[in-house]
This record gives sequence, structure tokens and C-alpha cells, in this order.
Amino acid sequence: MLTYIARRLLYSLVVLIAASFLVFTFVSVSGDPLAALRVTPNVHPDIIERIAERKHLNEPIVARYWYWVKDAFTNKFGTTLLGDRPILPDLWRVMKNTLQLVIAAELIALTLGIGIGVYSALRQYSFFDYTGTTFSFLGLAIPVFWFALMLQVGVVKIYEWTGHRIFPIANLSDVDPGSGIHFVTDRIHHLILPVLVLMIVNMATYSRFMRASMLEVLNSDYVRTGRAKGLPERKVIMRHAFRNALITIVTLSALSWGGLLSGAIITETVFSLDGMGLYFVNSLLSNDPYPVMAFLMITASSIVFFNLVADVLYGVLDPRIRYD
Amino acid sequence: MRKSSLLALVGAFAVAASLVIGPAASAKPAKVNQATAGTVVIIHDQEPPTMRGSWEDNNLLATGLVTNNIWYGCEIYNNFAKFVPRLCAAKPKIVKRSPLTIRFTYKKSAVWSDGKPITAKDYRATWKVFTNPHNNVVSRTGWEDIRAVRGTGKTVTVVFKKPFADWESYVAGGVYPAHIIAGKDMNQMFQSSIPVSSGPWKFQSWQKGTQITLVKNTRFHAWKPMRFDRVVFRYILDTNARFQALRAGEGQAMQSQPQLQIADFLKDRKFVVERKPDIAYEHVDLQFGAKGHPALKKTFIRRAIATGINRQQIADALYRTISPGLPALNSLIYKPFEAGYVNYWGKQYPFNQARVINILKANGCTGGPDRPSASNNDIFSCPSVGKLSFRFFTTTGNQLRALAFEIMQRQLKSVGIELQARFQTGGVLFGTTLPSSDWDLIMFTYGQTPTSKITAKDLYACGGDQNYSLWCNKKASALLNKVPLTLSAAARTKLLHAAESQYIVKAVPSIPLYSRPAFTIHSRTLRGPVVNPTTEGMPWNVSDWTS
Amino acid sequence: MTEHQLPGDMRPQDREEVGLAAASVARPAGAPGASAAMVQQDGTGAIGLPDLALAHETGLELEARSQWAYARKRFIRHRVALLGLFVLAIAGFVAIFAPRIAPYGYDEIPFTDPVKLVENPNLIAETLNQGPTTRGWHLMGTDQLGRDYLSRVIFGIRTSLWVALFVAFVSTAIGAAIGAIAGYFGGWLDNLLMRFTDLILVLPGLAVLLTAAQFFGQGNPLKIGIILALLFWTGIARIVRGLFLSLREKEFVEAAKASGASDMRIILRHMLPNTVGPIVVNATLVVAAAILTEAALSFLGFGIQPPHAALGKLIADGQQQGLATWWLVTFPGLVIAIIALAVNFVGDGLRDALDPTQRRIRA
Repeated sequence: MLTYIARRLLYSLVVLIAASFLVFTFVSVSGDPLAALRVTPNVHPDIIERIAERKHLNEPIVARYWYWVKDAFTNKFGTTLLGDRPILPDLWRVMKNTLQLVIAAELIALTLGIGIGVYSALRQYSFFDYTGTTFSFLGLAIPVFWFALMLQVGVVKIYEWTGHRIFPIANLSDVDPGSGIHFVTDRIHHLILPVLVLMIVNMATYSRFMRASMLEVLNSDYVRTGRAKGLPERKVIMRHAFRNALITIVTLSALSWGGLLSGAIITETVFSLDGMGLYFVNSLLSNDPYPVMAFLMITASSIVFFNLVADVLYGVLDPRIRYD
Repeated sequence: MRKSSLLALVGAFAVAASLVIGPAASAKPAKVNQATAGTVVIIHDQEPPTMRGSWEDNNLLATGLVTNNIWYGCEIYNNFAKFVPRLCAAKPKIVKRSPLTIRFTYKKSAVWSDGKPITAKDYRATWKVFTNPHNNVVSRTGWEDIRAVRGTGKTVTVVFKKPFADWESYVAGGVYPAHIIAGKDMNQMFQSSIPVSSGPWKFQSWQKGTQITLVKNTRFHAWKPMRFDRVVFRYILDTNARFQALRAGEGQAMQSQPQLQIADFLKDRKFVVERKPDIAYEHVDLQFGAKGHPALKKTFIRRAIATGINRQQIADALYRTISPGLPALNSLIYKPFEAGYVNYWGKQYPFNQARVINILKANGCTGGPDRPSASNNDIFSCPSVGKLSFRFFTTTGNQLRALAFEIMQRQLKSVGIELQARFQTGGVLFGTTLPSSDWDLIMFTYGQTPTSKITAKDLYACGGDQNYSLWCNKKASALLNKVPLTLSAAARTKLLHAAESQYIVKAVPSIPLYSRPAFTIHSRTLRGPVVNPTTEGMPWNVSDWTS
Repeated sequence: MTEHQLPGDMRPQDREEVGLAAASVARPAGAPGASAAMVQQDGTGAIGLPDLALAHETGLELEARSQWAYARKRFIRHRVALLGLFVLAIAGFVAIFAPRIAPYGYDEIPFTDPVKLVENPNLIAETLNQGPTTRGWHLMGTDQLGRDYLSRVIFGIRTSLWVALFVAFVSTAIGAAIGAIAGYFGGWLDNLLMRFTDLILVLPGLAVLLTAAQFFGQGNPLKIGIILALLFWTGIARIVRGLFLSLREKEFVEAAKASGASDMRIILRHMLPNTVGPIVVNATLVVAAAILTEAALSFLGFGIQPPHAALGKLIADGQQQGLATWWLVTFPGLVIAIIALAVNFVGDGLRDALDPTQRRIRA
């Protein structure tokens, strides 16, 4: 097992390096970061040239990539292209915000998804099952940005009718969020709608999958054996069926955790949350390679790491699997 | 999982949810769009990258909204784009014409919020900042034309190296505090905060990505002090969310570019929408260079294109809900509300589809329709230049612009001219495409200041810094190059009129579409905001705001 | 955690190597709906652990023919899936015959028509942003330029379906090929291909799209389709690979090898047919994902550009005018939801039909 993990980590490193070079090339050639300056009045071409010199923009891609690698290690991911603002403090800030959002959404989606999935399986083809199925599929068929907008519009309509704004519709905090517990409740309040939007998709997925998994297990031989032996139904379900069905959900979820950091772009855009997705899109549109690279390094590492975790977990949880 | 466990889970969730929603909701009683106890919240889209302002990573508008009332100027632009004195006792005067010497005096009451008086030392320090080659400022124009700054007290004397028509812009602006920036590296200063202020408000805090908080500057007596205690800028990037937030009372005021969502607010009695022509204008440039379509080198074809676009119709169709009656723009240099505005383009190229076909046919073009028709699919081909099918570039993500293009495309197709869509992001369009002159037609908005016409040479003279059309007419260039050296406004107007009427209109290097309208939307309970089309923006008169 | 509607950032967080192979041996039966769920989470092919269980036990090859008939019967009994198929057939019909069906062209702007303008100079005020009405057969109203919205939606269905089918087809082809090669040959080739898959997985889709737009022109449905296809194949590759890894050990493969069949023949004639089930199911789900992805891209400004009309673009544009012109968002949104639902139901039905161990297939 340990050699397996070590080998995988080594390969992951290669993948990360290759990805970093690819993305750096993409961002560097897909647009000019000095674009806005070229149409700003009174900006002399000399000034633009000076910046290009300072930031090695005229050198070949490989050289510029090498500058980035050096900066990334010696200067904590470096600074932005225009203005030399350090990247790490901003990245850290947006990462914290995104983590709050996506972890909350993932946990709620998991809990509700598993609950609904199990219950649907136990009451297959019942009204609850069909309703759950329909809502799951709906959750997977509606454009996310539209759903988010509808929520916002709904809140505004309620505000106009009653004068009470039940949820804030943008940003992470109030004008005066206070401190301590007030800050926390304010933050939670602001995250409710975004979490709802994010959660819908994954909850639908988990519930469908849990249902299917439970069904499969409930129809299996060893559950039948358990029932035949006279075990109480509850024990059969909780100790045997549920646990086995959970295995694959766990691994599925572990993989999902890998993509958490990069998965909320639209939600963050619509609700104007100061998170990683928004940070990434803004940097991408300004064609500024360094912040995009910092984003990539973090998200790519997260993905490959959790891929590995999921594999290991599966091997650990299912005693029939063995790694060579 | 047992039914009871599941229900328990759902129940727990509901309880938790209500625990959060309940107190939070009740903590906000009827906030009916009212400024709360001395705070006014302004919603904007982009937050500034830093507090530094005129640096290479500058976002002029976003930063200016916050810092224009911190680095308060000797003069500021009022809502008619005219300079009015603020920290100066009177308008700066020309005391000598050659070498150009300007003198102005700061009021006695003009002090920094830490008590130090504002003097010529501050102006000199600012000048040094902009001319220091180590500093990554975005533009040295104007500052590098100053030869000397004299004075140590309230009176400042500025000597220019040569006649500089736009001197007032560089004399009237805000200044940095000499005592604070002395010996510091300006590339690192004012990254996330500003410790002092010379204007109505001063910086308090910045939650990056969310808001900037400013408080009343109690030491400000040079002009009317603010009545509000606090101004908060909230940053919401998504356009829809921004308007929804305004509706939901998360802010009381907003200045906006033309957006179709504004139509909803015009009908709503709880809001006041102010509208004014902006200085920025939308236009279509034509390419004269080698990488452009060879047909564009022929004057008759360019004139045909100008005649084939119904600019008034575009303005009507796009803006009737938010700015009814918006006129087409008929001058490339002057705006409709300016004194020197003359209707050149409307007179020279009134919309006439039959005329387009006649012009093309008269010059030997074939293959097109005989009559203008909406279902026409035939495209003209002209001798030695080929088919009249042009690559039309513009930015993505701007719906009004996309719609304008689609209308133009249909209008020109009816007369046998084809436009191929090329939508690109700003980074590509302005960074690569535009400067490389590898385009046929391109549509975008020039960001301009009230004195941009003084440097019209950058756009239209041979070799101009931003002349990406590569149009070159020596006589026109001679006229335009004289403008920045001409001190008399009347003389400048004559030069610009001559350049436009005799050369620019005839050659059609660019087609003006319309002056963009600028909007301010605010809750009815807030009184005072008006549209200021310059970079001063809405907060220019924040001292007059009340609720 | 994903919003499942953008490429790359939510692409398949798939399973790996030995886990998959082992799973196919260990799990007794395919879990209906399971892979469907996982695919939907990420937009395309995914974990597929239960899918692997669809790699049936020995002797499958002999049963192949009757298997399909059996599957067809089971599918027909799955009423909801049948409904989905019917809806898709209608959508396909609309897409193919769009120019005939649509009452107007999708880019006809009435007020630019010189003839019409002469008759009625007030065209701008009268044709822009009209709600649904039977006058002039504007059953879905008109848009910001007075264009008939029903026609726009019809052509939008055509473009969106075209792109989605293209993406599904191409990404399935690429993914199946890579997965088959990796799974069949194993060893260093498998390792290399899987690391390559990882690489594609890790790339942020938006960055790729931005670059592609710069070089290959922006907004052309074909080009968007190619890029999306090049990003979506990873899920199918994983699934097919896992299936092949397990199938490889089966006796019928050994038999084929022993009788001297070439690798190519074994892959194509013996092993691939056994994986058609999960492949087809995943492909249907890629269709749904592609439609939603296109919508999300249009919202961010990356997707299909004028003058092409696609459903996602219609929603993104319509959203900007606020709620007063509700039909601009509602109709394309409904169409997207219905098509995506139909595709999901069909996929579910296919899953149920092709899994022989699902006992309670009550329709």
C-alpha cells in the first residue's frame, strides 16, 4: 500500500508540472495583459514597453515559465503583473471564503442526499420515491445561474411586499457585521442562498446514487441471508445494507472534495462572493498568469490528492480490494 | 435509516435554519431603502485594485470614485464638465504666456486631516512622483511638460516647458501629502489604505472583495462638509445582482453604464433615475492599413458604409426603454452638450440605402442587389478589391453592443455589404487585435475626459499613439498637432472644426454612433445625487446629499 | 462539489486503477441510476463503480443477441424513459426541420426591413419586447430587437442539440478508444494514458476555452463543440478502462487470444460490445451536460456568439432585461430543462434495461 501511494504521488507531481506549463502557456498566449493600457488615453507606448520589459513579456514562453517557477518558490507565488501586488494574501483570503461556502454545501448535500436516497430505497416506487426522483432530476436539469437569479428575485419580491429582507442577495457580510458571534451569524446568513444553489446539484446526485446503491445492496444475497436468519429488519438495514452502500458514497464524496475549491465559479459570480472562483475568472480575463497559476497549483493539487485519497479509502473500506 | 431518524435529521435542519434566519431577519426591520443613521451605501461593480490611483494597474473610474474626495483638488469637474474651484480660492490663472506660467492659491482653510496645511510643497512632491522614472505611473503626459514648480506656501507657481493647452487638468488635480510620502517608495504606498485626506471624507477600512468604508473628515472646512457620517462602497460584480441589491435596499445609490435592467427602475416610484449624455461615445473604426480589407482603402466604399448604417435607428431600438430620444452622434470630436458641437456626419451621410447601391454601382461594383431588400443575400464585389465582406470586431459580454452589431449587420446586408462577426474578450481585442491593426471594422467605446479633444491627434494624426486605423492625412495631422500647443480655446475650436469638416468627415476613418448615456439611480429617500459624466462620478457633490 | 455545468472545474473526479478493476469483480450487480447520478454530478462519465458491475459474468458473448432483445423489452416497460425518448424524438425533429418549422428566420429584425418600415414607421415601438401573443404567430413573444422568439428558440434547439450530440459522440469515441487501449494493454501504457487523463482533468476548462477562442475564433458552435469534447472524454475513458481491466481476465478473451486473434480484433469484436451498455448510458448523459455547460459558458461570456442562437445564450441575454420580459428566460429555460430531463430519464431507462440483475423493474 505504501509503495502504491508513493508511486502515485510521484506520478501526480509529473502531472502537476505538465499542467502548470500547459496552463501558463494558455494564459500567456491567450491575450495581452496590457490591453487596457493600450486604449487608455494619454498612455505613451514607452510606458507600455517598460512594463513589458520589466515583466519579461517579450521573452519566449519557456523563459517566462521559468521566471514564474522561480517566483513561485522564492516569492510565495509572486506578484500580479500590473501593480506588483503580492498574490498569496489575496489567495489566502479568497480560499478561506470559498472553503466556508463549499464545505457547508458539501456537508449538507451529503447529509440530505444520503438521507433522501436511503429513504427512497426503503420505500421504492412510493410517492416519496417518485417525488424525490423528480426533484433530483430537476436539480440536475436547471441552469445554475438561472436558479441563483430566481432566488435573488424571489427575495427581492418578498422584500417589496413585506419590507423584510429575509436573505441578503450579495456579498459575504453586512455593512456592519459586528464581531465575534455576530460576525459568524451574519456570514452564515449571507451564505444561505449560495449554499442552497450549490447544494442542489450534489444533493440530487448523492440521493440518486445512494438510492441505487441501497437498492442493489438490499437485493443482495447476504441481506437475504440476514433476513432469513431472523435478524431484526432494523439491524439488517443499519448494520449491513447501509454500511455497504455507504462505501461507494464515501469514495464518491472524497473525489468531490478534490474539486471543491474550483467548483463554485458561477455561484460566486452571481452572488458576488469574494472567493476563489471569482478570483480565478477575473485574473483569467485580465490575462494575468501569476494569479491563475497560483489558483491552478492549489486546485490541481487538491484534485490529485483527493483522487488518491478516494482510491486508498476504497481499498481500505472494501476488504475484497487489494493493491499490489 | 429509519423513518424517525430521517425526520429527526430534517427537523434538526429546519430548527437550525430558523435559528439563523429568525434573529437575523428580525434584526432588520423595514429598511425601506433609507440611509441608516448617517450612512449612505453606494453600490458599484468593480473595486479598485489598490488605493494608489494613477498607477499602471489603475482602474480610473473605480479608484477615482473613492479617492477623488480624499485627494481633493484645487478644482473639480462639476456635472457640466466644467472646472469649479474647491481647495483653491479662485480658478488658476495664466500669469505669463511664454513660458507658460500658471499661478493658483490654496485656501487658508485647506488642511490635511492630520492638521498640516496644504501647500505648494505638496504640489511639488506630486509633480516629482509623476516624473520619477522609478515610479510605475500610467501616464506622465503633462507632468513631464512642467519645467518648474515654485513656492512654499499657499501660492503655487507652475512653469511649463512649452505652450500646453490642457494645463488646467494638471494644475487642478488632487495632490499627495509631501510630509507623508517623503522618502517612501511610491510603488508600495497606499496599497490598501490612505492615512490622511484633504477632502470631505477620509478612508476608514477596506474589506477586500466586499466594501470600502469612508468616514466624514471632520477637519475639512475648505468647502461644504458632508452631512452623512459615513459612506460605504459595496462591490457587486454581477450586473443582475447589482440591480437586485439596489432594489432590496442593500444600497441607496448607484451609477451605471447603460444596462437594460434600468428600464425597471424608471417605472418604479421608489427610485429616481437621472440620465445625462456621457463623454464616452460608441464608434466604429475603419482600417486603412495593409492588414485590413483592401476595399477599405477606397473612399467611395467607406462612404457607402457610412451611408448604409442607420445610426438613429440603432439608438432608438437599443435605448428606447432606458434613454428615449437618444440622438445619433454627429461629430467625432465634440459632444452634443458642448458648445462646439456641429452636425457634420448627419448632414454628410444621411441614411439612404438606395444611395449606397447607387454609389457602389457607379464605381463598377457588381453582384449585389438592385434594390435594398431585407431578404437580400447577394454581396457586392468591387473591381480590384473583391467581395465587400468585412471582419467586424467587438467585445464579448456586452449585450447592447452585440445587439447594435446585429442591427448594423442586417442594415448593411440589405444593400449587399456583409459583416462577419468577430467577438473577442477585452484582453484579446484591445491587447492584440486593435494594436496590430489586423482588423477591418472595429467597434468599441473610447474612455474620454472633457479635455480629450485637445489630444485628438493621438487618434487621428499620422502616427498618433492610439491611431490604430493607420489613417494618415498630412494636412489634418498638421491641424491636430497644433491643438495641444494652442492656449486659446476659441482658436482650438477653429482648428478642430477645420480638421473635422475638411478632412475627417470626407475620409471616414471612423463613424460615430451615439453618445453613451450615463445613469444614476438612487432611492427616493436619498436626495442630492446627480450624474457627473466625468471621472469625478456621482460622489462629486456628496456634501450636498441628504436623506 | 461542483456546479456540474462548467467543463474542467467539474469534470469527472473519477476512479482509479486497481480500485475499479477490483470493484468489477467484487460488486455483484449494477446499481440502477447510480452511474447516472455520478455522471450528472460531473457532467460526464464518472466514477462508474457500479457500472463496472455491468461487466457481466462469463458466457455473455453467447447471450449477446438475445440480450439486446431482452433489454429492449425492459426499456419499453420503463414508461418514464419511453416518455423521455419521445420528447427527444420531437426535439430532434424540430432541430432537423428547423428552417421549415420556424415561422420566421432567427435573425430577421422587422424594423430593419426597408419595405416594412415604409408601411409602418412605428415598427420599433411595436415589435420590440412583445409578450407571447397569437398575433403574427409570435407564440413566444419577441426579443430585444423584435425578432420572433419562437423561431429563435427553435433554431436554438437546433444549435444546442447539434453541439451536445457532437460533444457526446466525439468525447465518447475518444474516451472509449483511450480507455480500451489503457485497459486492454495495461502496464506502462495504461499508466501513461491514465496520467494523461489526470492532466486533462486538472486543467481549468475556462482557461482552455479562452485560449482556444483566441486562436480558433470565438463562438462558432463547431469550435466550442470540439473544445468541450476534448475536455469531456475523461469520464468515459475511466469507465471503459475499468471494464476492460476486468474483462481482460475473462475466459472468452483468453480463448480468443489462444485462437490467435489480433489485439485489434479482440478489442473491437469481443470486448467492446460488452461495454456498449455503460458507454451508451454515459453518452446520453454527456448530452445533457453539454447543453447545460453551453448555457453556463454563455452566461460567463465564453460561449456561442452572435449571430448563432443557442438556448443558453438566449437565457443569458434574456436575463439582462430583468423580470418584465419573463418570456425571454422562461421559454428557453423550460426547453433546456425538458430536454435535460428527457435525456436523464432515457439514460436511467437504459441503465435499468441493460442491467440483468435489477429485479423489480416495474414500469
